[in-house]
Order: sequence, then C-alpha cells, then structure tokens
Amino acid sequence: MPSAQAPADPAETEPGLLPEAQTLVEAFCRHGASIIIGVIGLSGRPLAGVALGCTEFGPNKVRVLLSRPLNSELLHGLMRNSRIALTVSEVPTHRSIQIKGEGAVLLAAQAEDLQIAKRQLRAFRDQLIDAEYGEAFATAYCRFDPAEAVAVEFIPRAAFTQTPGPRAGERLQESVR
Amino acid sequence: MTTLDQIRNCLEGVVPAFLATSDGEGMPNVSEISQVHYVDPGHVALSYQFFNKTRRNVLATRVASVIVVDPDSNAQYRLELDFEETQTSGPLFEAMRAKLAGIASHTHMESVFRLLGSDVYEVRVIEPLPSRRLEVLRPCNPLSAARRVAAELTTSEEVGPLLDRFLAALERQMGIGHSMVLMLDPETGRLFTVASHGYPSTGIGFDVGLGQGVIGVAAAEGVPIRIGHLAADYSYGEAVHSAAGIDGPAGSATGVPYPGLEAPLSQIALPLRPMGETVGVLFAESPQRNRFGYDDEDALQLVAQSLGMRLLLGRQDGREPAAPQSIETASSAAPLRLRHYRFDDTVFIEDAYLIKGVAGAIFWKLATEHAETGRTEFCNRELRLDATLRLPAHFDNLESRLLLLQRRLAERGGGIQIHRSGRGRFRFDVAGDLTLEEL
Repeated sequence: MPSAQAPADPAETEPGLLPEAQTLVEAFCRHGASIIIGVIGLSGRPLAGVALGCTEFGPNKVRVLLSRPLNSELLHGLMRNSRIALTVSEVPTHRSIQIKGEGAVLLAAQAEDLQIAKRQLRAFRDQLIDAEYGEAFATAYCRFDPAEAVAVEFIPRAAFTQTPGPRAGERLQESVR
Repeated sequence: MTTLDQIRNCLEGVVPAFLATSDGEGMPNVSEISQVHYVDPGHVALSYQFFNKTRRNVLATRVASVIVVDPDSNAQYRLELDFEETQTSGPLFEAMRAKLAGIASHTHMESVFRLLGSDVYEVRVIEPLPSRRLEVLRPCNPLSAARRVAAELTTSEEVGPLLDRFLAALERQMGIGHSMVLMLDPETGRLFTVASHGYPSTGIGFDVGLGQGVIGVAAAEGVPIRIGHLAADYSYGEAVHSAAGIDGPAGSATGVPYPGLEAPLSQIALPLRPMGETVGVLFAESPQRNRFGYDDEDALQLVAQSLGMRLLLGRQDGREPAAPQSIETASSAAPLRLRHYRFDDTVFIEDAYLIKGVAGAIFWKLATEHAETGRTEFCNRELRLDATLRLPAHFDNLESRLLLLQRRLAERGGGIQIHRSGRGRFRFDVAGDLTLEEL
C-alpha cells in the first residue's frame, strides 16, 4: 500500500498518530479485513456503507474503493458533506481501527486500485471461510466487479481504536500500542 | 416494499452489522455491532454494551443507519433507524442477553460482550442493497410442521404418553431430535423434567431453578429464549456449573443428572403459558450451530401454546372425579423396601433415590395407606384436601406433581406404578408387599 511522505497539514494532524494507524490498517488489510464507512446523507442522517478495499493509507491521504451501486446514496451524501468515518476490522481478532477524516472526493478507480482491492478481497474471503461463514457465502460477499468500482479519497484527521470493548473509541496512541 | 419480517434471517447475529451514527456536529462514526434483534414488524433493538462514541451519538441525535446481511443468501439491507428507548431488564433484555452470550461464545468474546441494555429503534426505511444472492432451500415449512405437531395433542387422554408422542412428533415433523418438557413447581421455583426425547437417559425428575440457563430464564421472563452457540452462562453441563458456583450435579436440586447433550451448540426454550400463566417449558437443543431461527421460534411457540392449553385441560379434567376403571396389575412376590426422610420428603426404593418434595409426600401417603389398608384407588380431590401434603390453596399444581411421580415410577418404581383409572382418579398398583421405614 503506497503512502505519501508528509502530512498535508501538520497542525491538524496529530504527530505520531497516523503512522501507528498506517501500520495497523495495512496489516489488517493485507491479512483480510472488513472495511466499512459512515457518512452523512443528503437528508442529514448518518449512512453506513461497505468498502471493497483500502488502497492507499498515508498521513495526508486515505483512499478507499467502493462499489458504486452498493453505495449510491452514500456517494451523493459525500458530495455535500465531505466528512467520513472509516473502520477497518481484522476478522479473527476483531481488532479494529477507526479513522475520522474530511475533504472526501470521488475519483475514478485506477488499475492499481483494482489490483490491490482484488488482493485484499481474496484475503478477506479466506478469513471469512476460516471463520466458518462457508465458502459460498464468503465468495458471494467478496464478489468484486471492477466496472462498478469508484475511489474515494479523504484527509485523515484522527484515529481511534474500535476493537469491541470498554476502550473502543479511545484515541489510537492511548490504547493500541 | 421490503418488510422487517421478510429479512429476519439477517438479524440472527451470524454476520456482524455495520452501524453508522453522527455526533451533534455532523461527524459520522461507524462500527461493527454484534446484534440487531427483531422486536416486532416495526422495531429492532441493538445491544448496548459500552458507553462509547456510538452510544453518545445515539443519545445526542437519536438517529442511526445499519447494514444487515443474510448469512445464507448474502442479501443486504440498509435500515434507517430512530432511537426510542433503552430497556435494561425484562423479556426483550433477557432474550437479547442470551443471544448475545451465544454470539460472544462463537466469536470468543465472552469476557467482552455483556449486555447493559436493549436500545429499541423504530425502523423507518428498509433499503435493499445490490448483492450477489445465493439460493436458499429451507428443509421444511415451520408453520406447516407446527400444524402437524399440534395435531398430535388431540390424539390421547393420558398426559405422559401424550408428551412422549408430542416430542417424537417434533423430531418427525420438524427434525428436532433432542427435546424435553419441564413443569414448573411454583412453590419451590424449580422446573422439573416430565418428558424427554432423544437422550440416552430420560432425565425424568431433573430440575432447574427459575432464571437458570435458557430454560429457567424462559420460564422466569415468559418469553422464548434461544442461543445459537451455547455459552458457559447458559450451559447445564456439570463442569460449567461448578465453575459458575452452582451447587449440586448440573445444578439439579433432586440429584437427577442433566440428561441433555454434552456439547450442544443451539438451544431454545419456550414457556408454556396457558391463560398467561407459566406452567412449564418446552426445551429443544441441537449439536448444530444456529439451528433455531426466528421462524423456528415462532413455530415452536405455537405448538408450545397448544401444549400448554392441553396440559391446562388435563388439570381441569383431574379435578372432576369419575367412576374408576379397572386396571390390570402386574404381580410379583418380591417385597419392596421404602425409606422416607421426613424433613424434605425424599423417598428411596431399595436404596435408589425416587423423588422428593411434595411429590415425595404424595407418594409416601399413598404407600402408607396401601401398606396399612391395602387400598389402591385414590382420587385427586382427596390429595388436594389433605392438609399434611401442604399443597398451596391457590395453585397446587397437583396434576404436574402426579405426572412427575407417575413418570419417575415408570422408570424406577419397579413393582410400584401409578395408572390413571378415570377422570380425576388413579390407581396405586403395587406388586408384592411393602416395607416402610420413616426417618
């Protein structure tokens, strides 16, 4: 997963916070992870969505790939309110990281995005099978149509542990190291 | 339009749900949650386990969005939710607590998942999401199967054989191979097994307390309780009970060992509530994970209601004495030695435990009268009027106690048996002489 070298706005990005998140998110995605997003819809209500993969994660940019048909309402919402929440969960351990960001923009999926997402979904499918979800379900759930993919990029502002438990919601550097 | 009833299989907790909320400033939050529970056609309840960001957001904005996934078909839906209230006790809370324990057990999160409350939401919109759907073939139609099982309840007058036939029909019609019927003794607050099916030993007489395991919670709360991946908190296994600090073999006060599966994964308990009063529990279990779904629960609750009404009719029937019918008595010359412990009415036959409590007192009265006078014919009314038996005036549950005694004798009574001889009457059949010892 490539990443940029410097934060976009060091004043707003907590020093030392996102590299920690980067390491964990990259590891989760490499081994196969559930990736979900939350945005504010056009009605002003929250909307949950599912991502295909996290194709780039750096101090100043996070890029995720979404299925456009599965998230059409959510993508419309993002065009009005660019704030976004992203949670990445490791299947066998339930360890989860949530990234809060802003400035989300919609972009065309690139060939490299598709390759990374394909790899991540294959690993995720294997994790689901290992977790006894069944091969048929895991395969259907991780089905990926490249023609339907769209990329969303945003600027990360904070990272939190989201692992189930009383410490879920704590800022990352306080609880996960 | 998609309805909540159509998508209940998404709400079994097999696949985590994805919940989005927002704070007062419009910053979204998203997390996986373990349980979205079906409440009624217009409501779901989410498990509240920690006071975290999601909880604070819900209390602040009272709106949420959740994606649920069918673990069989991969159908996916987004639900738009309005928060209504939090329940921290009662039937909904207990049903969710049991199910959450199962989810925690399956995901190895027992030490983390503890239900603090059931957050009830109105479902405003259900949006089907595009996904690759798998074809799902159901093994049977639960409603049709329930109708056939309920029909068994009209085929016999004797409660004991009726229960045996009923449980056999559960296996034949619904594929439920392991089941029990337990009756509640309101005096002691315990439920005792009067029929079972599919186990190496019948376990007649095994008892559990109100609030103990899925059976006890179902009786205490008057709602079906089911668990898809058995958790330690709900197991009747002896080792687990020792760890949980519950006294006695498998938590039973009578000492009769738990007859059930050693390693069940799914369990369901349905209260028998004729006229709104819990009189017992229908219990079923399976070595298969997530064996009982919402449709199974509905179907089984229907047959449990029919069973409850049938047992209530049997109780009414037992209050009206009618002319005795002759019963053939097995004969044997062997004398039987009976021992009775007065302090708790425990009875032994030839050093083997038979029964205790009020059912033990009834047995001792019958045995004493028989030994002194040779009498064999008795009626329920005289037991009901006998002050020495200390039956409660309001709800004596006499028929259930007699049923338990009859079934224990059928298993362990040898030459001593009870047979129904007419409406509200029974015959105390003894083959040979009795030697009575009271301590």
